[in-house]
Amino acid sequence: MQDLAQRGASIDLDGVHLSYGDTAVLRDIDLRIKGGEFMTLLGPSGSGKSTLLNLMGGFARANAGEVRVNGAQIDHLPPNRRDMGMVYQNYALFPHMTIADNIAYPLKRRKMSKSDRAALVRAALAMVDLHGFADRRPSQLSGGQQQRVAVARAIVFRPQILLMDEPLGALDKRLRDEMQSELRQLHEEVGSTVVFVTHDQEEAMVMSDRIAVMNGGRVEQVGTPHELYSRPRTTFVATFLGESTMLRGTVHAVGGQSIFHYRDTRVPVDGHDVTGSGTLLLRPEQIELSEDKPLRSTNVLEVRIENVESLGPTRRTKVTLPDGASGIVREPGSKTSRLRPGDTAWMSWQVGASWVVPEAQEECPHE
Amino acid sequence: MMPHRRHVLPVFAVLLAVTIVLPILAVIPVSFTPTSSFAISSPESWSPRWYRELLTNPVWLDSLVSSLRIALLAALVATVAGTMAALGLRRVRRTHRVVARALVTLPLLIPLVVLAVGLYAMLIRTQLVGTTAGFVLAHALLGLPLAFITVSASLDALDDNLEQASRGLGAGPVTTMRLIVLPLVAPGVIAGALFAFVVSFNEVVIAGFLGSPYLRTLPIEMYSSMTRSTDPTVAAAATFVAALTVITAAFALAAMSWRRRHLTRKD
Amino acid sequence: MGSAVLSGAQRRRPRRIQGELALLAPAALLLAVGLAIPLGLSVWLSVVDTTGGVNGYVWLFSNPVYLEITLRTFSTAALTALVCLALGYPYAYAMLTAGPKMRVFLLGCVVLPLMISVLVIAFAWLVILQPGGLASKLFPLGLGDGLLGTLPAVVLGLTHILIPYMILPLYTTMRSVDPKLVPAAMGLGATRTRAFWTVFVPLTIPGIASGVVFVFVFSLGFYVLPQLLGSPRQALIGQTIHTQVNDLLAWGRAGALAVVLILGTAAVFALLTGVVRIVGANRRGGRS
Repeated sequence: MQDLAQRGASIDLDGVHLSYGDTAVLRDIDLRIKGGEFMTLLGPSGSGKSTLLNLMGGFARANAGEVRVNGAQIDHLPPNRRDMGMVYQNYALFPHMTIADNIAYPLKRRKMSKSDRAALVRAALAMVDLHGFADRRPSQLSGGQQQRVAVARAIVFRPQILLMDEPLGALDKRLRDEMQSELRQLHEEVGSTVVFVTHDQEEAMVMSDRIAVMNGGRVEQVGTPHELYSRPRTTFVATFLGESTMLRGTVHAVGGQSIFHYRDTRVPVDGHDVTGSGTLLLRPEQIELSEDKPLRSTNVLEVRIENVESLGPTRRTKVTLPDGASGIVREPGSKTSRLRPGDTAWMSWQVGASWVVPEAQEECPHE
Repeated sequence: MMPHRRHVLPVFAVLLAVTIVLPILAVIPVSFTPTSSFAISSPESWSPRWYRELLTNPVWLDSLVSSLRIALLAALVATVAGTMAALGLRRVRRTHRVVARALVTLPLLIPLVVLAVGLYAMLIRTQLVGTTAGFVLAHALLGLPLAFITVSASLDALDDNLEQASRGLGAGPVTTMRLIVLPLVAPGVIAGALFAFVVSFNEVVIAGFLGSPYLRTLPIEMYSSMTRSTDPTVAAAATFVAALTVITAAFALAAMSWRRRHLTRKD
Repeated sequence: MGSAVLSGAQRRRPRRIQGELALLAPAALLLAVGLAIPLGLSVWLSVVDTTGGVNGYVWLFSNPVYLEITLRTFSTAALTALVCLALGYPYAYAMLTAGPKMRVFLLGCVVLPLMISVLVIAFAWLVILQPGGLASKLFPLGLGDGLLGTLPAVVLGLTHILIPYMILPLYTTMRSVDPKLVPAAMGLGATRTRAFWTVFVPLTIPGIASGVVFVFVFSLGFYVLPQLLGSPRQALIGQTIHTQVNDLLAWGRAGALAVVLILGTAAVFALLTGVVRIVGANRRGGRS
């Protein structure tokens, strides 16, 4: 059986800028994608993520900046000479060709011999578990099967890079979860670099080695799912990836130590050389609620319970902070609690859990 | 319309539908008449006499052959030009496309007589009156909007990602056109060609100006026969023309619905 | 920084589009040679050609006969459009309210004359209306006789050929009307008839207008059908143009008549599409 394993290529984007008329779609994007990496472009619709993917595939051209694959500039190359596999949300299978012809299409374009072609098509079909479907037409397959064919067609010519534009967006939830782990496994086996576009943060967290969060045509932050979740650099990244409680206050440097001030509360924060206003970010599972005031005086806030939802293994409590904003706490369902809406309670957290997001950096004039 | 009388409306509509279709069918019994008049004959007396006349009399037969030749050539020119225009206008800015589409469909809106006078005036100066080339030019112009509209409709239904996918998989623009775009719009192209053929084959107004004693199309022969005499051969010709029209149009419609059923995604 | 970037963008984009615009060349050539030059030539001849010593327009406006023909042509077209509307509106409404099989039947019947040759339809009516033909047998009081060779016979034939151009746009417009509106109006106290006339009909005005435009405009250009079913004493513009060119070689007169026909067509077209636009604009404004 033919081996479809591959060594992924690196992709570098430098100062990429693209606009249609007066509307800038991509603004000064710098991004390094390592060979073999599973990189997700995550963002809301209109954030430029699909345009960025099209740019890598050669379907859009930047007004400024450059794209390099394995160090070589590729901006001038048309899509058919870029050797990248692409998978679309609506599959884009050729309706007038059989499944086998669809998969053989890129091989024929590369003038491969008939016997090599047949072997590779078989290997690709096997990889996506579709033996015996070779002679069917796309319209005879279910959505999930069509998506597998699209993937097989994208990997069969052993591209060093796979581009995927919301490939699971048209599938229902169960099928999507199944395909997520299949794609992940496929990535391990094939070894190509994958650039994956999605607006679904959960999907991005599950699948990616690293995520580039995009907003308004910019890359807001690049990092591993864990980094983005626990150390977001902007409030946009913080809110786009999961729930959080946000305390708006100021950071003061006292000696060598940064102290976050929120009303009467003082919280020491580590690793911040920023001073000025900022937001202290707490993830729901980092907070503890108690009916009585804990003994320590820092990292403690008096809150009012808004509502309590029991979700089985966890309990989700919505609270009102002293400044009127609301916060979210998630605790194990096994922990007993008598708190009811309207009650007063105390929330506390570990000092190490504190993370401050500086206030809108780029709009600060003196920075 | 009188919505409280539930049956009035359907009965009216069926009556009108029958009134539209029946007179056309009245041509058939005339074409089989054994007499030399436009008499509606009863089936037991039917004779194929006038069909024999149509296919053996050189006057009728020549005009039939000329009509077929002109219609085929005109359909070919109209389809090639219309398909190319439809392909070329796909990526043009919206405002420009609206103007271009209006221009291409203009031949449908100009009164035929006006077009005929202008064409006659031009062709007489270039000595092309009474030539196949003159007819083909005029009829291709009438077929152009039909071919353009049907091919454009097929292209509009084509998923842009298919072309992108083909490019990304290693095909150049020409290969993508040959292997992906053209096969997928082929039913539309065929339907457009058939419509263009029918229009040319049936066209009589322009032909009335452009014909010469040496080159007459079947509609012209039918027209002059009708104004001259009560020769029932014209009924045979009319039946033949109508049947060919209906069959061709049926094929065109079948091609379009085949495309809808087989080449579009089911969701 | 924007301007440098933008000019780069403008330089890069058009190359591909230019290649695709080359695809328009055959159609453009066909339109230029087959439409623009002939029409231009007609207009030019209408001004410079002086058969009988005067230019086409002078001849046209100094001859009451031809003004009468012009007027007759436009009123025949208007009458045809009205007849098509009167028959086509209930027909389209019947298609809207019919079951699926009935709808296919009604649609099939109405599409037929769209494709069938004018000559076949003209011949059919010639057979039916001829002395001693089907019409005189069906209407024994002599109602069916005598119709051939009159303007009503011409209107009959034109209606038969052009009624699809009325019914199809009407049906399309009716289908886009929200079916809940008439019941809603009745819920507000209107009778069924009143709801129909005050709610449904006004919403179908765009369909009425485009149907009338098509039928009216197409009616103006016929010459074969009036020649066969009408009478030479009640000629229409189409026939007159044919006579002037083919029999008298009076290019200037034919050109002038052609220009009048085109201007009339364009005026009707502009008027009625203007109505559609105003109605459409009002509707959009009212909805938001």
